[in-house]
Amino acid sequence: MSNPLATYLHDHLAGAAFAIDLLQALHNRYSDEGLGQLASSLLVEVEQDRETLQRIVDRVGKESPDLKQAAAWLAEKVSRLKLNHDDPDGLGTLQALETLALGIQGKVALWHALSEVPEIHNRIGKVDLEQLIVRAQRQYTQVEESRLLVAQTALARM
Amino acid sequence: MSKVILTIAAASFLAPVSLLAQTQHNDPYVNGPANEPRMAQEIRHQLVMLPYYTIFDDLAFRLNGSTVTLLGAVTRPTLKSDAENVVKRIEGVTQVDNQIEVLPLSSMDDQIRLAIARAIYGDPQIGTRYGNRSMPSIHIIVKNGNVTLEGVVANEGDKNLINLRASGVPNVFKVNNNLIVESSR
Repeated sequence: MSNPLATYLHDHLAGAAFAIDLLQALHNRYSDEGLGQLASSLLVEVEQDRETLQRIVDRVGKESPDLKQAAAWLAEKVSRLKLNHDDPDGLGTLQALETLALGIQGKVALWHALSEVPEIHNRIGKVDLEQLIVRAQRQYTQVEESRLLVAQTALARM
Repeated sequence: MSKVILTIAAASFLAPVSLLAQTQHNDPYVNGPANEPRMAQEIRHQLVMLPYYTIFDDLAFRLNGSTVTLLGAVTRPTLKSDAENVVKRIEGVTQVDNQIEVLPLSSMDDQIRLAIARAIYGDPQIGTRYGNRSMPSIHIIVKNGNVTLEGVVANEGDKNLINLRASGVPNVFKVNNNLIVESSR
């Protein structure tokens, strides 16, 4: 019988890995621009978030076969969202930022959900979910503002 | 009032070095003293809430009466103007002297930032205690390969370990370790 908590956490773990790939790609693609700087600061935080999530998984959830499905789904999304240098309008970048924004909202939901279950809260020890929620909300604001900025160029050609 | 410059000119002759450093450079994410003026608390709050404020930026302030001097160095020009705009709107603030430096765009510096952040926050002894805060307390400022560490840590051992991690990153010319040890505040 599958463990719903393990499945839930592993899905988010796969999402974090996907976000890290995307941010690394953004960082490489825009290394001389503000977007690259933003990607690097987010990269550090998302890597930290993934580590935190991994520690939670180690404490409360065993590996689930659903992880493979989630990873496969995400790998397929990554292949479609690869950032190309021949993307002058920035449509790929817009889609990447949009995906990141949605993923971060998912992360906010994750931290909120975990904080609602006292049994989990007790088992994950010193993890300060409130701090993680505030940080994820800040990450969302950063990504969303950048997304809207990129949209002005990416969607201007009609 | 150890964190806010109100009487720095008179006090600096007697103040220990660490205290002097703190009064000249108030990191907004570091809690002030219990008797800190309300205006200083509000400045901290407004600065720390800026959405583009990251661990690669150093924002600091001095408060002298109703005049606020903004200090530090930031990676995004908009963060400099955003900081000024939010502080200007605080009740009681009459003047803002914006001395924040905007760091040059440099892919090499950006690589160094990322590498140092990974070296510091990826260290299991450091990352788990400092990395998961809404605003992590170790900030990494890089300009032309020169690194300045700003913020606050719990003890001298952490300060030294962080310095070691930062110094080990390739292409770093020099590390200025301005981290304040919490227990000495």
